Amino acid sequence: MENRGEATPGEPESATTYTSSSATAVAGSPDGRSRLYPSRSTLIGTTSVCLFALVWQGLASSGVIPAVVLPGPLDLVARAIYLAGPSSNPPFQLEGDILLTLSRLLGGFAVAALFAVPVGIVSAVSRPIALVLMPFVGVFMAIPALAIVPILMLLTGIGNATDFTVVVVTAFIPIVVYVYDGVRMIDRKYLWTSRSFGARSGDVFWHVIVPAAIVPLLAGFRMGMGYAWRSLIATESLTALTGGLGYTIFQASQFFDTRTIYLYMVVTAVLGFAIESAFRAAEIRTAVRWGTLASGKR
Amino acid sequence: MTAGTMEQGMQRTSGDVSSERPDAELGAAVPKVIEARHVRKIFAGTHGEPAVVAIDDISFDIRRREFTVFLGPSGCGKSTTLHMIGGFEQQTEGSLLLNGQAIRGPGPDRGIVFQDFVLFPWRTVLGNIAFGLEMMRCFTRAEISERARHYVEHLGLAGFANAYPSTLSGGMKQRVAIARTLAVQPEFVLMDEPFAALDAQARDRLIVDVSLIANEQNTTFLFVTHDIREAIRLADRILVFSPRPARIVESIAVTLPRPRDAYSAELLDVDRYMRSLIGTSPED
Ligand SMILES: Nc1ncnc2c1ncn2[C@@H]1O[C@H](COP(=O)(O)OP(=O)(O)OP(=O)(O)O)[C@@H](O)[C@H]1O
Ligand SMILES: [Mg+2]
Repeated sequence: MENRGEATPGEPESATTYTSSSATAVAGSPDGRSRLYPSRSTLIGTTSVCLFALVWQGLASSGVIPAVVLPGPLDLVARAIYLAGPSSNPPFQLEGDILLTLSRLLGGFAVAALFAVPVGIVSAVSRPIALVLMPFVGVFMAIPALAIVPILMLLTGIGNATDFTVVVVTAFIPIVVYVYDGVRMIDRKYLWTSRSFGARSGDVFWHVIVPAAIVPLLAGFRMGMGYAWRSLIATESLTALTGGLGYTIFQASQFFDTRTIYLYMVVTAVLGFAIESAFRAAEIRTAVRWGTLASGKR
Repeated sequence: MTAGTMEQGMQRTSGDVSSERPDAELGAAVPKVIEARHVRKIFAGTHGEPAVVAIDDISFDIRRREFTVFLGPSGCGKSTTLHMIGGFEQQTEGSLLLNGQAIRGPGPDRGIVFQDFVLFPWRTVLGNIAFGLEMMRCFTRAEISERARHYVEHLGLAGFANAYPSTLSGGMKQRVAIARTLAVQPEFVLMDEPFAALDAQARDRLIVDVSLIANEQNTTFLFVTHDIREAIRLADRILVFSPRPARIVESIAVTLPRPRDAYSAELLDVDRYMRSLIGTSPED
């Protein structure tokens, strides 16, 4: 959103009012009450999750399924309180793992995006470059991330570098592919129009290509993040010295510590959901607000 | 039809219209700003398709401030001609001079307005109109805003400055596109069937507004259409294109004062004459 200020130079306060109210109307109920009361869809979603937890707890408490196979939500809460406290080993293990995994994920993702977006755009704009680069993208797309982990461990050791590199590599490919396709689909008249205003390459990039391809761009980010997230958790369990959510899940499985496994699964799901929500929010603040992407509300 | 009945509204030149000719309204003193000489355009076939000769051989001159309309049937090469002048495409043969210089790519001296508006959906109305001003990098934010607001008013968009294009009607969208182009005060405004996608009412109002703008601005308009009535209401001169591959078959100077009433007797006269000249209506 950083180019919004430049998009409407010198706009008075009323502009801000207009845009924020329209964003609210899109994000929540049309009457704009969504800031004060949870929307109906949020209520329904929360209710169904709570019901699920209740049934789960009932099943676990009834003893039909042994607690080792299926610990209940209350067990997980207790476990979470312990692992998040000072008496776990290492202390504050849960927070530590979340921080480690997230920093690898976000750091690696940022590096991937930083290179993948320009590569995708340049390939889309220049046919010779596409002819040189795209075969590699096709080949790398066909290699599962975990297949390169052994080689990365040889190259970079069983430390942070391997986890980090896996994120970079797995996020890179889908971002390039989506950006490449997205930019190629931009109506050339946008580029013509901007150039007929004397726009320079940098201006065309920031003011035209990026916003015009925002939907496929975000889709590529989403895919890249999704791939990277899965590969990272798996890789952490292989790079046995480095900690992180995947590592702890793997360790717990060695001791049949199912409560920790389930707890980390829930944590993984919640973090994944939060990341997905962030992308959805980015979509609502851009393409949905501009009217170029349906809000998806029915 | 005798030449006498036509004297009041128009003047006709056939064939190669680039040669020196008597010009009732503009006079030979007005400099030629665009000179096309034997321009030919062939689109190379891609994926095994045969090459398309879009433009066979066209020559014409356009003088400063002249409102020139390219009139011709669908697919005859009008847009291609405009795209070459805009610098988006290059001719295969012949020479195309802009103020005596060969055209090398697009530039801020030539603004373009498309049939489908091509507004930036991620910018508000004001943001769209400000785009070209921002690209010039010679104005402060306050100046950009002030200028853009002037064109918001000028094109009848007051109250919509902060709206996104997706919320506007077709007529409003085209007004934004025109305002965006005029805001940078280009020497040429190229318009490619700008009213073809609009309802009759919106089109009518825009024809009047563009006529008035053309009267007051120091701008050369190149306007593509396949609508005879639209051509007559706007043009100083109409270049009539043949079906593809394009040649220019007529050059008709229209000298009625603007804005022109679509149903005035003189205009209907010219309309009837044009239709007899072209034979079939270019609209189909
Ligand atoms: N990029 C291209 N590649 C191949 N052929 C093209 C290309 N652009 C245009 N043509 C062909 O050139 C011819 C002229 O096209 P052009 O768009 O200039 O016609 P037009 O007079 O503007 O018609 P319309 O009224 O449909 O807009 C058409 O036959 C078209 O199919
Ligand atoms: Mg056309």
